[in-house]
Amino acid sequence: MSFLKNLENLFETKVDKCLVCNNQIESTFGWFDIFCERPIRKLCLKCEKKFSKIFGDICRTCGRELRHLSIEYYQDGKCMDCIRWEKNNQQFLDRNTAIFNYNDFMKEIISRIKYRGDYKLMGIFNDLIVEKIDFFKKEEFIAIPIPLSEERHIERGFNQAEAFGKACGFHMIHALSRIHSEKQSKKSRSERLKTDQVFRLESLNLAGKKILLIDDIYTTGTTLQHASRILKVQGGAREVHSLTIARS
Amino acid sequence: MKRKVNLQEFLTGRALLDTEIPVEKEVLEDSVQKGFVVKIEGLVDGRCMRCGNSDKHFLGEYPCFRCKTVCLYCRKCIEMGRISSCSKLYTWVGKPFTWPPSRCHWSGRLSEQQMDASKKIIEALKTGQDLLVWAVAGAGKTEMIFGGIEWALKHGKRIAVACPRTDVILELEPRLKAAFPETSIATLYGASEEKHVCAQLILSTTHQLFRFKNAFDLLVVDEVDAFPYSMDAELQLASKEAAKLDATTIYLTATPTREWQNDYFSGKRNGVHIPARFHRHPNPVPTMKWIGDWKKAISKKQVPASLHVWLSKQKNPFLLFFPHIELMNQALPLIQQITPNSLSVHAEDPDRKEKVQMLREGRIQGLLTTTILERGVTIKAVDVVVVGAEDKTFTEAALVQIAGRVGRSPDKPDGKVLFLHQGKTEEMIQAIKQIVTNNRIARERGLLDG
Ligand SMILES: [Zn+2]
Ligand SMILES: [Zn+2]
Ligand SMILES: [Zn+2]
Ligand SMILES: [Zn+2]
Repeated sequence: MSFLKNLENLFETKVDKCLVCNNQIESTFGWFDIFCERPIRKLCLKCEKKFSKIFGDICRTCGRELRHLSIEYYQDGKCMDCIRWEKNNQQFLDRNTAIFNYNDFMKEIISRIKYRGDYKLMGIFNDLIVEKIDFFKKEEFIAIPIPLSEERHIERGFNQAEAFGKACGFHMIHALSRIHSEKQSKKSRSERLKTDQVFRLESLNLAGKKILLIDDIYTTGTTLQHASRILKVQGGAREVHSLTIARS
Repeated sequence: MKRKVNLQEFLTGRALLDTEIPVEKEVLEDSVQKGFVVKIEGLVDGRCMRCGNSDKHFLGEYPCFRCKTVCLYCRKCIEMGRISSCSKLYTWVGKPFTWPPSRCHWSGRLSEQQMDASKKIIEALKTGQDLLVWAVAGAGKTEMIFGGIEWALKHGKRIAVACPRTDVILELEPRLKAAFPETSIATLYGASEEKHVCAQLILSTTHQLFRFKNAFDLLVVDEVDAFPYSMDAELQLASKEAAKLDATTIYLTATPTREWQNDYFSGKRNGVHIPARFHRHPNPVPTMKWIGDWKKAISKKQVPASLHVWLSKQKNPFLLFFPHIELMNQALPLIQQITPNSLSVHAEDPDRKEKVQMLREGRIQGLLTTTILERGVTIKAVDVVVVGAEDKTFTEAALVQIAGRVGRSPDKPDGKVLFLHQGKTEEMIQAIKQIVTNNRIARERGLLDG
């Protein structure tokens, strides 16, 4: 019980230095701080400005910004990558929501969390992502993190997808596990999707349910398509959405 | 890839994570069983056992998949591989590895005052004392430590030469490797390939000393006053822990803090002072001149009058120091109208080295710079101006270092140093006083010609 409580408190440590650059965060709060509890800030303004939030016209399926793409790369509000998934009958994911563009700053943040293992840094997201995740909470999606292989999980100590879900305040269910290691095989992505089984479905009845997959980055979409397929085909899920920190 | 290493050689004086030790797990555990190696907890009572950090901001927690509890981890030294409550540091406690004796092959000649410093260093080693070596820029301090290093090598001792700045380490490496060709030497800094190599003589950024525990008999700390060593108590602690209890620490600096200067003069701190340059000419003394509201002038796209006058008369290559990068960038196009052959440089500039080289070769006349070039750069016949010398980035040490860029070549031992200011500061006055004092002492001791 105290273990769970600890988990909830993980992102609540009092910090007045920026978690990214370690500089003191200049307070913008007035005299009422004396009477009210001051909200904890984890990010300085300088660093906050370096994030690029996704906005404007986005691909209806993968959530990437369309305005940077040249005109022949999208059609009817969908990007060519997503249209290709559909053409090959491999589109199982209904929709991805990504919060940020994968710029150099985001690249650095994700690599600091994922490869260096700085879990605490995930805490910077909980103030930045509120609007977009409210929808999933109201609609009663079942949140499922994309799992790591046992080997990788031990090596890193934590799963960054799960950490992200936790930072968003989702209650997650571990309905998937990995069969293969994450190492990319030499086969093309459509080949891989046809032949390889990446995930195993743990015994859970998902028939007719709405699922929200959680991952760190949407790159090619292959991982999320694999997970969506098994959730729908074997688990009987009605809808599968996904939420990622970034769309590369 | 796990390669074959001699654990005794690899782990003597070090505290490493299992992932950093290139032997099979069974071999490591076997050594623990036999009592040659001990395991230390990664964190104890909220304190990192590698870097000594206990600041809450630099500690984090995560639900650990490995040990199935909430694990505390250190964010301060995370770049060296995360260390958590459930991590163990391995250290050698068996008979320490000994390296074969080797000697110095440097054939140059020391000046009288270098010789004096060299003797004092060896004396400090023999008696196990610490020593401050206060040597002005251009005194030739690297050669002064060769004698001490040779003495230590001859007696099978282990040595670290550490500096806060990677630039200095990279510059020292070829000189030490040439002087000590038979000695096993490893160079450690953030991106270095030799990180996991073990050697008798370690050349390292102060940061990388975290990997060592109780290892060194002689620790030479170069530029002891340079950022971040001077600012970071944990780094100082790390260098203490890396050295053996009875080790000798040699602090090399051109600009000791005022406290250290006073302690030296009053005899409270064991030290040797080298007030003159190798070429026996006096250290150039800065002059001060009022510049007015220079920030306002630059924002109105004007070059302040006193700077304008100076630049339009300037024939020699020059460095213009600015306290802030934004103001420097605004000033560049204005200054290029007076001296078109000018560029600017700052810490994150990828062409930093190239631009300094261009100035050295006379392909450009002037370089605008932040304090990044305050140390280590030598350019023949250069003059320097500090624009806004009143700014708090320009400490006494910074100003003395900046003045130290001038007159380094024996063919051109003089040059101009100008502090353009909007109000004299104590730091400016103390900097000039320090240089004047050095010259006076040098003259009294007969270390200057003419
Ligand atoms: Zn910041
Ligand atoms: Zn798309
Ligand atoms: Zn640490
Ligand atoms: Zn653990």
